[in-house]
Amino acid sequence: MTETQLLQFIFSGITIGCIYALVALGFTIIFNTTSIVNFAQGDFVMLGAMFAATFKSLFHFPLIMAVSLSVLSVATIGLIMERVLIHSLKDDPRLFASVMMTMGASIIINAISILVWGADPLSLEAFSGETPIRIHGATLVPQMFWIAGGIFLVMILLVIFFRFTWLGQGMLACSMNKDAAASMGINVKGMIFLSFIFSATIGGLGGALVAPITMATLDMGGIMTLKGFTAAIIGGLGSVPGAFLGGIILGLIEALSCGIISSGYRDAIALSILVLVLMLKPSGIMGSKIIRK
Amino acid sequence: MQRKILPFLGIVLLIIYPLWLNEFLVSVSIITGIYIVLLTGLALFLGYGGQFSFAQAVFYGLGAYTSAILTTKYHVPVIAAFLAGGVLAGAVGYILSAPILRLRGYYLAVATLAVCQIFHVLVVEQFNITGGPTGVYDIPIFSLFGFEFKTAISYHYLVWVIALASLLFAKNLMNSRIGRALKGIQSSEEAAMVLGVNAFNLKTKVFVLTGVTGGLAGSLYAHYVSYISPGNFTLELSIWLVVILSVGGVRTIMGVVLGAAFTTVFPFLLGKYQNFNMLVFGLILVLVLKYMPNGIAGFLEEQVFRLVKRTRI
Repeated sequence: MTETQLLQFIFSGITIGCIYALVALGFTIIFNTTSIVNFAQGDFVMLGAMFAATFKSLFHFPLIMAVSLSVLSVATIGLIMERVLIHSLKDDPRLFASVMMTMGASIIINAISILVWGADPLSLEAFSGETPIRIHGATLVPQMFWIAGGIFLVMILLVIFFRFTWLGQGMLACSMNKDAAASMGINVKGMIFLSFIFSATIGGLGGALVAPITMATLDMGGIMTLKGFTAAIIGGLGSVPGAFLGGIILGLIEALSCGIISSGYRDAIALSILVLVLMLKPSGIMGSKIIRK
Repeated sequence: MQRKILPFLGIVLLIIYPLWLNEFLVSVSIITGIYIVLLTGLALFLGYGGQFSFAQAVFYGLGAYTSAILTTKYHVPVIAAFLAGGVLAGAVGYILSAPILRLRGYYLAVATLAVCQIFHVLVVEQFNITGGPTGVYDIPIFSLFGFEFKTAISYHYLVWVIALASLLFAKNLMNSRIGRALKGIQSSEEAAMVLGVNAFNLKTKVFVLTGVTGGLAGSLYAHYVSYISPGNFTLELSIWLVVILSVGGVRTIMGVVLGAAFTTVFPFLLGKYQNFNMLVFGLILVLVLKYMPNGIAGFLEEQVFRLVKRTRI
């Protein structure tokens, strides 16, 4: 394999990795407040992509308006999902009902989406043209910078939010011990509510950003959930830098195993490495606490 | 007295009712029986072990492929291939349990998820053995000591005998030392370990059981439909099994039966409104989770219990 090819695989690995990282970040926020893994996270991405494509390509809204409207719509769906499905659930220490509830949400979102949009994929034009940038013979699509920029913005905001704001600290407190947090005057249910809106927002943004590369399709939700969850676990569930790292690592492994070994074995190799990581460090690369049950 | 009569009536009903069914309904009933076998082990692992496993499609696939390949390529008698499917799936479950069952909760879930995807890729890519995306076809029908289960009705009885046997086995297991230890693990693994329960060992046993039942179910399926391909054994199936178990109810035998019946009967219930299948299913799942924490079976049991209590007083 030549240097150019290697560089090409690294570029595409980082691009796809950034997307996985965005999904993983969405997982992280909800997990940090509720200890729930939200199986509808990938569907937020799918909705973001579908809405953005609909607003831009079908209704011909300006780009910024289409993207913000799509993010807003997905955030609203996250809000409705929390209010209707999660909010009134009885406290279940095993989280079984809550996790299954997010699966239920995923099924409902997918079912409604297919009724609304049908099975055909929608396309969205790239934000700043399609002219690829050449570096050492390898090409890079400009949309990549939008995605990378988006994820850096989200990550910096999240780190600041969880470290330095009262609200962020309150959210973290909820995940560590709900009762203790409540007795310190933190509105636990309110924090959970917020975390769903935040992660839906991030998912929606991710969807709008990737749609020009992957097209907006209905089946991307399940794949995104799977990859994002994997990335979050590789990085260490609950860690913001871990989610980013996990996403990039997963993307790179996939792209490189695609190039070096064979595209058919891509998923098998990436997931074997995941299992290996879990064997060696069960709490993920950046994970510190061991999560039980 | 009542306890003896009810199961007896049930069995009599099971023997008679297929005779009135048309061909289509018999096939639905056969698939339901296969799903019951597939779900019993998983229900124990999920309901009593309290752990998610998304690896059930792996065992199902292992059983189906083992049986299919042994009978088509090596002309092994079906009954031997059937047993080999169960044994191999159980063995793989045992090998997997060493690294995987040390993990808990989400980490276990994602590890099983990974195993499921890896299995799927291997089945597609190792076409010399599995036939790749085209799968294995012309799988012979089930036969036992020279008797061939040619008619759907006869196969129906075979499947349901195995389904009932696995249900009975699970029920007896739950009332044994292993079952009580499992319940202990579920409420607190640490406490159970202090009381002398080897949690890892126990989970391994249940996981192997999930493997064996999954493998047997896979073999039954392969010999029924006579054609299998990687599309039958996907991660979606694994996830689906967990979902339907939580609709049926994970902690009761009835829950397994309801879950199995639900998954086979449901697609036909809405008739011409099939487009709304998944939407209705999602709504049912959500409502069950919200109002019936122990699934439909748990809910029904509570109602019957309440009724009995009222009539006694």
